[in-house]
Amino acid sequence: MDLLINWMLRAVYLGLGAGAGLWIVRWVRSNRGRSEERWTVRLAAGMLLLAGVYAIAHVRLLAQRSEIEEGREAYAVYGDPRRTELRRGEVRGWILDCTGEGDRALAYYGADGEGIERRYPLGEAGANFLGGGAGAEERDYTVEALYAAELRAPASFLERGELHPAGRDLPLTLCRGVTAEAYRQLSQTGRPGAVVVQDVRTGAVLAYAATGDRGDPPLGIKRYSPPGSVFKLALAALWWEHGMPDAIPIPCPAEIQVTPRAAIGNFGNVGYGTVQGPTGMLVPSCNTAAVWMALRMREEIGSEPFIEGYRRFGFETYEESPPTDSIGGFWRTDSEAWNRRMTPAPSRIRISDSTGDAEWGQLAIGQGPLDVTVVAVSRFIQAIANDGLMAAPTIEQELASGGAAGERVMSEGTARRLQEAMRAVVDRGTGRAAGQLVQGTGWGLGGKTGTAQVAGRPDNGWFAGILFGPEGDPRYTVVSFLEGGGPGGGMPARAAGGVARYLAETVPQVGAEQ
Amino acid sequence: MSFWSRRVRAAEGEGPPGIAIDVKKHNRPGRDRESRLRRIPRPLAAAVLVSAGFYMLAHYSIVAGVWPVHGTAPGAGAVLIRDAVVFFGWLLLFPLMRLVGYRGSWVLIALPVIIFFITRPSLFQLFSDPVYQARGGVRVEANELKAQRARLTTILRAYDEERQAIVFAGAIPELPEPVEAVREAAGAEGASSSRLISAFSVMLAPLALLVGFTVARRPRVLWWFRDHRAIPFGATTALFFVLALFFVELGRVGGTTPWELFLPIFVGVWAAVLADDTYNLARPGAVLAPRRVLLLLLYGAIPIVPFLIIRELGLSVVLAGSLATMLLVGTRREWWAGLMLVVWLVLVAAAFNLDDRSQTRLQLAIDPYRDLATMSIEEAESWAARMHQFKLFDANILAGGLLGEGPGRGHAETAPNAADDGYITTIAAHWGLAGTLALVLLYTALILQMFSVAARERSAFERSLVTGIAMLLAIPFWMAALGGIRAVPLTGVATAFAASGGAKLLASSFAVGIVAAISHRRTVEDRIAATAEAMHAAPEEQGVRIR
Repeated sequence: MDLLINWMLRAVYLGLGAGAGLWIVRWVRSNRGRSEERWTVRLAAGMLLLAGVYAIAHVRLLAQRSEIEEGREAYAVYGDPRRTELRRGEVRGWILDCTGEGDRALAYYGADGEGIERRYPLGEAGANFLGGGAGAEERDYTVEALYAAELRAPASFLERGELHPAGRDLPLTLCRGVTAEAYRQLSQTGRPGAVVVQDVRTGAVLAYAATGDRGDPPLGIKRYSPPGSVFKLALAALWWEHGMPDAIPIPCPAEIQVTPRAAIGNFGNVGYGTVQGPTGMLVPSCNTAAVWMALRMREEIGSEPFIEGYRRFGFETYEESPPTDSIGGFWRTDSEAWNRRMTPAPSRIRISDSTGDAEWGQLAIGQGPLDVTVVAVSRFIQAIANDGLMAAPTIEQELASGGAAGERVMSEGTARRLQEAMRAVVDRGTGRAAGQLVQGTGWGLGGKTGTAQVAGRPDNGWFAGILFGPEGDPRYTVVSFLEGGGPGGGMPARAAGGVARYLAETVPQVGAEQ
Repeated sequence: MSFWSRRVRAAEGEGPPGIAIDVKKHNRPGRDRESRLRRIPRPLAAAVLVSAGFYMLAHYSIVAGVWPVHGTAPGAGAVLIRDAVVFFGWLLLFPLMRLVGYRGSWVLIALPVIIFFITRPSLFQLFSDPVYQARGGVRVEANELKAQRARLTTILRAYDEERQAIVFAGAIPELPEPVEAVREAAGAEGASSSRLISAFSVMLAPLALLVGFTVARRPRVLWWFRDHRAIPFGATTALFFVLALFFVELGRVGGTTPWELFLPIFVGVWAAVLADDTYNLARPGAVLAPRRVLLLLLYGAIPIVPFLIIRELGLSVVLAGSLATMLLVGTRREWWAGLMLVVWLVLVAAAFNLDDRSQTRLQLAIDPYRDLATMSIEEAESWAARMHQFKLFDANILAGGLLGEGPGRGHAETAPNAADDGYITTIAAHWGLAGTLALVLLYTALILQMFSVAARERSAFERSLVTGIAMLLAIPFWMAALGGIRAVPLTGVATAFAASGGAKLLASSFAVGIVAAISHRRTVEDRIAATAEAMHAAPEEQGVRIR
């Protein structure tokens, strides 16, 4: 009804304007030729000129919309009552979790004695990423802020005519329970870090939990760290991708002399004699075997295939100056704001023909001039779990439910071998702590631990896992990262294992919507 | 001759069968002529009725669609009653004008009413908003309650039962009433009688038009004014100086701004001066005679001085511009226009070089969003305070876009002075670019019709007077309309019939009544002259012709 009235009233304005316009045209026609009262026509011409000036000036303001909005934004710090009124009085859409149910929403409205407020049931678990607390819609990196336009868009055509239109809901792939559990696991470690859970087939992010203050950039997306031994998965992938022998015995001494002045040793300075192929290297996470493999491969195929391979896996290489600009297309999203603010810093490796043996050996074990982000590692693990197809991660349910074609970054055979190797790591290698937590659920866990040394600080710890369903297919990836929380087989593995167990126990509920 | 025409003519009893007779219009029976001349042209009547329908529907839409969501200001009901009274007042004006035998241009009467009808609902929304007129801490509190109310009503309207159960988890809270917060503060302040007078002076506008017409339709009243101009001029100027020097506080006298009421008087006096001495004023040599220069200064410059004293620069421009145009039209000498243009340019240059406020207003019009990085913190704060209003005016215009947000929608009430300085941006928020263009065209049509009345007038006094009144309406309209969209510096003058301002509305209604009276007299006198002329004309021109 309101809409109808509004359009009727607009029609009146337009009709009266058109009538006045016609009247003026007739007036000008009938007065134009009169020489005895030229001043009348001249003054009238002046009035019409002013009417033209008005029209042009008004159109000019409308055309400068973006500049004016930018200007208002810049001056908003000095007060903008319109903005304040609209923000206070608005009813944005709800942010729904992977179930799409209102009672499990990640952001919704609730009433108390004081009035109606936006609520974030995840609390601190989501504050750093979703929103929560004061100014959630203003902070740089929250879903609430970056999807503000979508959440404020009128929910329906009829809502458009309303004084305060109710906003459109935003269904996310994030699952409330999994995210809460991931945050709980993180909090128990007492270390700064992040946990990312992805759906293997679609790349949908089921959980993102990270420590940090509300205003901090999201640690799992913006913070760099060397990946440690998790990176050995990339080395093994390259080995198999280039047809290097699988059943080759590889020496795994406690230490290997890379150059006359540089040696690389195993964690705990332990030797394992000889290991069988890349899988044998991965299970005990043998540094010396990895270095041996990297040097041997470079002898045989040169460094170019490494550069090309790492790029395919999502790790940018550089020769002198590290790239700092984010690379577009990381996320699958329609939101320009999300892409602009949340595209992670490029995971980067300094590598070239002139890279010496010592540095080459360091790269093989995920150390040296190598920086990665948690989400980049998660995406790489998702490609392994998805039989070599890398799907751009997304948090938008609409995009995830449409499926993902993915980009092939390694052969299916290589991916399967890596999956098996990762299961072996959890069954009998460095990731046993995580495996124990999943036991009895009927689900399987594969993974790779990583312990990254950072000069002057405690080691960072990683666990990059794949959760296999009861039928044996990879279903979810779980990557945990803890700053100063190494070794990877300790707290990171237990945190990831805890999340994996939660997933295994609640998956009928989670999986139904995926 | 067709069968139908023969039947009609036979019924009217015109001429014997077989002979066709044409009767000149002025010789037709009086009753027929009377009714035709008094009748409002149908398109105009339709436009008035449509705009009246608009007025009622827009008020209804605001009461039904905006009030429940935002709440109301104290006295919103009284504003609604006031608008209803003035609505019937304006509509009643048309039969009353017919009753008193009005034979002038109906466009003059109808257009101000149409403009009032299509713009008033926007002002009604502003003045009935709980926050628009609130100040300080009360405003903050009222704003918070208004926001809570908006959220609650939106949820109650848009959410289904399942969602509402999640939101409320029990009983639905009571709707907050922002009016309570404002009423408490208003009670503490006390309602001043001047505010009430100002608010309800709107109701007198139709009456003012009728009075203006009634007073001016008798030539002797205007002629008395013309012949004894020193009396009204002296009294008005003295009163103006006394008020300006002793009773003004921040441009107001007891909370009101009566200055607009003086303008038609000064314009009338100036028209009398011009009418008396047009011949000499059209000759460059004669203008420089000391007595003439003194008269020009006395009647043309002195009235502008008190405006400068109270720093009403906008009104001084309105008066000076009107007087200058009257001089041009009265003498019909282009060199007056050239001379005044030079004077105007010198004054503008002086204002923008010597007066900080004028300079700032110019800068605000050109580039309000100066780069904050190039300013110190103090400069930035100071500039932000100055451009605050423009920022919100711009927001109104952007919110409206092409077709606007609808009646009372668009949140124009968040802009300070949205009902006066920025009224055009309020119209833009509600009705968009299309709406403001319609208003511009309607206003332009009103001014053009006044020029037509002036052009028909043979008496120098009446012609100058009508031109002056037309400019008293035109100049503020353009200054406010173009100022609101930053095409020229904003001056803060009120627009008659479209913006808030009781004194302006009363003065303008009265002035339009005078123009209507002059239009009426000219029509009557022309008809008498034509009839007299026909009586002495050749038989074939006397009005009866046998074919």
